[in-house]
Amino acid sequence: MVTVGVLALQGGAREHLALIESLGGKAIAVKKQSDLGDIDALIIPGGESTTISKLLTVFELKKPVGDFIDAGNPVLATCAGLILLATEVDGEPGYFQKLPIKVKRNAYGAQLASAEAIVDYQQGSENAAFIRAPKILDSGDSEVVGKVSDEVVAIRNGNIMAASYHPELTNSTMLHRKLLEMAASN
Amino acid sequence: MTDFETGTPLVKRGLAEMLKGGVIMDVVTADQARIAEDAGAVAVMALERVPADIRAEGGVARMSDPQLIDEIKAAVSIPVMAKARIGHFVEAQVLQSLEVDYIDESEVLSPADYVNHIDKLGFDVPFVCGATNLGEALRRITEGAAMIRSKGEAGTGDVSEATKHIRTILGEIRHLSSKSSEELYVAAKELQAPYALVKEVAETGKLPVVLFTAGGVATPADAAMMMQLGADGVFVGSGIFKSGNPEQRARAIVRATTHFEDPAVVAEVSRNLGDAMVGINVNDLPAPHRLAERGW
Repeated sequence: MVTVGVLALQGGAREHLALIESLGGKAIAVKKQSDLGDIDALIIPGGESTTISKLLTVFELKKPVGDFIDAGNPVLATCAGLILLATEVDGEPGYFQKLPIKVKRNAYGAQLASAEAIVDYQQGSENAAFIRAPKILDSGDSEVVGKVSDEVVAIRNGNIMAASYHPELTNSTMLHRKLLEMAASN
Repeated sequence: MTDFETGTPLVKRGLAEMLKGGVIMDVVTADQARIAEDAGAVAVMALERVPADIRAEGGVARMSDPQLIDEIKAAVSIPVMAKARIGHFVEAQVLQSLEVDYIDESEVLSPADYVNHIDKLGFDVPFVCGATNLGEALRRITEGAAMIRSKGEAGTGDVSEATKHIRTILGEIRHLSSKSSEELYVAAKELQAPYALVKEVAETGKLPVVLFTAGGVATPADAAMMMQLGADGVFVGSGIFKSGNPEQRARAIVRATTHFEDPAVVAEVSRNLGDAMVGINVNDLPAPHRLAERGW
């Protein structure tokens, strides 16, 4: 069985853990470097990206998580997770710089602009929540995975999938099923 | 944009979901807001006076100056919350027009209505409300609160009331879950909350919104205890900027909240922190000065 780790320093880890379990995977919360040794794939959840980045640095997880990604293991990053992986955030270098995209944080505005929207995937459509969401300004050579109308909101680049929204808050399973498939064939 | 539907219960509750495992800090200036963000706060509460000062100075405590809220919003990228008086729906309208990310209908301010709370369903901005027990939490959720915080006793640095309230709320939920279906009708009557919501809580074993704790948290160990007791995160009011070394204490409380189950981390971050806020024992407070008793 595939074991998926969910980075659980801060933010919405609980829903991702439950979603993976509901799809038949094993899910564990990742808080320490040693947790990374037990997993086949990693989810970097939503939360406050500044908070999560500080905690990754303080608890010396930046390099181990970076190495886990560089080793080609499947990764799903949502909202804050996408911000952490991007090479460029608000015109500045990103935190991990593992995903060659340009993003803008809080791109829609304050919480009043947070919204639900239908995300269209190749295989169908699912409702998702955009909470103080970032925007993908330039997805580079990434494959487009999900869109709202013409706006690119989910992408894949090699072993990394990333979405600007929260599929886990609406039990939208498309990306999680894909992650489990990637992990099973890795 | 027609493809995006704003102000739904899901997105109001969703922001609180993203604050889980985090620390929300009271700040009274843009500089303090930056210190809080640098320390790893997930959000700041923009205030004119922290609860300890409201307590010391007395008088009527009201919504903060919009100018101050705007300055704090401009200083940080994390969510900014602000407080409205209980029942003061116009203060809430003003805060919504300022585009704060969350409104705290708070007993720390002087109530504006001793009968009614704000009809929070009428707002697009989400609300957090205090509660001392499950019935109070469910009444606030019915009115539209998208996040609950146990009240504790703000501005004291005494964690005992926070402990009592989080234990009460979670204990009452466990008790509810053990009831048979016919007993839930009476439970709803006793909790003075709608049956459908009582039934939902009994079945899921949790509130339908995020539950933080507040009121008296002053040390990393306090924060870790609240998390071990089952809180989703903590509010720290006077505890940080009324202490000897706010930067270091803020960082320490954030780290202890993340690794709340690891005493070695809590010990490490608690070293050489300097003076905690002096505080007041809740038992020494005459009843009219207990903020937790405001709201119903």
